[in-house]
Amino acid sequence: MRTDIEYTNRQLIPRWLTYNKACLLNFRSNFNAQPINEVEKTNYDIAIEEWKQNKSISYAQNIIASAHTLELEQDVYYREAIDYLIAKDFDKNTLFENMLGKRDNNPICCHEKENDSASSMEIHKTRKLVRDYPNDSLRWMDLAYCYLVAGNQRNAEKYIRVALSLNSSNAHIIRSAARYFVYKEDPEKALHIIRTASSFNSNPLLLSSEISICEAFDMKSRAIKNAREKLFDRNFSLGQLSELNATFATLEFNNGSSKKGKKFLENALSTPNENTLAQAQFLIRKFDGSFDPTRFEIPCRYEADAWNYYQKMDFKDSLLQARQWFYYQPFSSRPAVLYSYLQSLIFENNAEAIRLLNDALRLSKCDFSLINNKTVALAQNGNIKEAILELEKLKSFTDIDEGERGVMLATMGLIEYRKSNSMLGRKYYKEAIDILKKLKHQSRECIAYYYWYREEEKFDKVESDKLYQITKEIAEKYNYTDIKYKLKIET
Amino acid sequence: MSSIPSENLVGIKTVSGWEVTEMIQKHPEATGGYFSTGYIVKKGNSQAYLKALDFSEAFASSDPARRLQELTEAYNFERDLLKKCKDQNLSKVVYPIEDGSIDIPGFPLGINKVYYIVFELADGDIRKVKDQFAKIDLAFIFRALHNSAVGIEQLHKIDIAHQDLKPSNVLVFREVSKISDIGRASDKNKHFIYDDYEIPGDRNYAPIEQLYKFHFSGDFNEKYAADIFQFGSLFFFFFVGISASQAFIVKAKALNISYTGYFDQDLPELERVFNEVMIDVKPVLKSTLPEREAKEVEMLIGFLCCPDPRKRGFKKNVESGISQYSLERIISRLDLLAKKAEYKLL
Repeated sequence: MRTDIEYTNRQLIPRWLTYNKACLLNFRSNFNAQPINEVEKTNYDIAIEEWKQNKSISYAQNIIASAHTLELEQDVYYREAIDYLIAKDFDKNTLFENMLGKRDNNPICCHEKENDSASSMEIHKTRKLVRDYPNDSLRWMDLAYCYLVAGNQRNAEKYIRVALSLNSSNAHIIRSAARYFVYKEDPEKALHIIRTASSFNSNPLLLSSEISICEAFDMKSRAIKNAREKLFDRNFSLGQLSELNATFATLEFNNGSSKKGKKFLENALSTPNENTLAQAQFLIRKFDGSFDPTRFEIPCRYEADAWNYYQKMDFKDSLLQARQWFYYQPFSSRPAVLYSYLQSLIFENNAEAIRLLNDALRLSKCDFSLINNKTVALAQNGNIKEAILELEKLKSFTDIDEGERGVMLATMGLIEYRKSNSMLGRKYYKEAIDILKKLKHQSRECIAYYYWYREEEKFDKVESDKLYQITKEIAEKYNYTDIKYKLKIET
Repeated sequence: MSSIPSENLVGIKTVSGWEVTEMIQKHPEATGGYFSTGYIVKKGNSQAYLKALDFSEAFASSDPARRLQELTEAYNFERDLLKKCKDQNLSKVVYPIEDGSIDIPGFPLGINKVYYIVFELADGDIRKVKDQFAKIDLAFIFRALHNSAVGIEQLHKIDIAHQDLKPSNVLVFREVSKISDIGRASDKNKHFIYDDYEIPGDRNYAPIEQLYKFHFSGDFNEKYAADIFQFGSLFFFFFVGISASQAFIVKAKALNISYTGYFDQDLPELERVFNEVMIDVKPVLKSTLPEREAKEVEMLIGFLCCPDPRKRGFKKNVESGISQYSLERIISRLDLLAKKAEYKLL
């Protein structure tokens, strides 16, 4: 069972990806994009003259490389030089293949690390690269990532520190480290890393990360004033400012100013990345209405797509995207919560839910929602003994809030029903619903009623019909599409 | 007859008796702060190269007097540097045989004066010579690299940084290669306008820090660091076919690295790009050289073209009390490699 299937406070927490993957998600690199000046133009013209007089490999290479550097790939002589090399059957090296190849971003797939051997191979490969390039801070960060994915937090943290000691001003390194400490629920440390970076005040990505982490943990940001100025700094492209615009959109929407929020969101969406797209999807869904992320041709839209399909009751595609999202961001429990919820509730495939939940729990051992969903899936799958063991873990949580206590009681009710102890089951469900009703957690209340109705069906038909009616009323009133789908109510 | 005085020199004799016989470079070349046209000149049995400077563009500018002054200053600066090289008898730097001016008939007074510099005539630059070989000629490559290293070191020893070293500026005279065209050079003891340019030379060959307008020390070491990067780029030219900067830019675009415009922020990514470039260069070297020499060349490129100018060069030099940007350490290595290649031991 889900606890908080809908985000209540999604923020633009930076993603942590391996460096190569992060590069693939970058906007098209504008590295060294400078307009050609008069002297460069003259030199290029000379290169063309020389090429005309000396049709040879060196001169062809010179034309091609110069055209690339000076962004003159449309030039007719550039094409001519390429054709010349091809005709000469020139033995290209990789650098030249890069030059002659396409520069388009290929959409990437996030291959699942299905088992331990895959992650240990990844560690082995990255360790070798670290040995070959010990000063490459990005590789140390990749190694930390591999270790964390493999569940070795101690090594992960050790290598994050190495990466930071080698460079503490690069945005990829800082944001990855900050993401790790957010995962570790140590926002102070995450913020310290961002704020002490020499690039903090000049890099919009770091400013946006600082504000978002503060907002997520209800802390006071020190970056807002400076960040606001950056939004109007013409030195940055809209792509570079996308996350910052989305961050300000979130602030404005949350402060009740949806008009200003929309303006920021519009800017953010002019060149979004998948994280800003997911944020836009969240904000629009929460405050405004419908949003279709599929019109944005960007890679790894998993999160935005998962919610988009969920909203459209296309649960099959939502499930597929949630799975991709999980293997893309394995440190986040949200995708695993959505995936297991859909598998258990909609598709009643509890075995699959348990399989992914096990992967997620390897990284998020103490996540209440994950353990709760696993308990539910186990109970529904008939693994009562294991479900009870998981339930004990839930009970051992000392800092759960009332809403979570309500969820846990409902899960306890489910287990009792599965143990054929309907009396106690009813008691727990009733207690759970009382709490959730009092807290006005209608969505959770509706789900609790639905599961109760399903369990009661096997014991008391009259009682279960009553529960069905209540569930239906709540689902219709609040338009809970998933429950309506299960109850086969027309939407 | 061309409307540009410097393009009308064929048939004219200089005061010292060089007769202009043939224009070899129709289109004016941007060198230093002015444009020039190249000619073959003859005196008896000797042939030489004459570079005629075009100052006429000054009269088409909005402020002819100022532009003319700029062009004259650029010419004088280059001429003084060349004189300094000549006085020091630098063996691997091309310096002039003579310089002077000629009055071209048919042009109004003032516009008719063409300044020129006469140089020894080269067989061509290293691009042209390289392409004459059916397959890669290691003896030529290592000798050219050795000569260029000597040339750069000679310039550095007299406080000059070349700033525009590239294949077209390494000329071949029979067995010897020499560095030419110091039109964009800097003199440590005499400030000139190009010293303030972020990219004084050709962007295709510029070191990475110049693309970022990054200054690590604010002193002349920045220029030496740039020179040795451009020298390292010659290795790229010979073995890969493109410059280090071009390889770097191509790879940065292929990897799609993020670009903040701040050198220190992007440095880890720049270093990653360089490592990736070297991963591509390695098999090329291995296919051309024996394993030991391939490793040695790879190491040299790593020292010379390191994207961080503070790490570039040879740290071991510092222990011996010489600059990390001095090429002394590798000159003998390159000489040995050249000799091995000449004796067909590679």
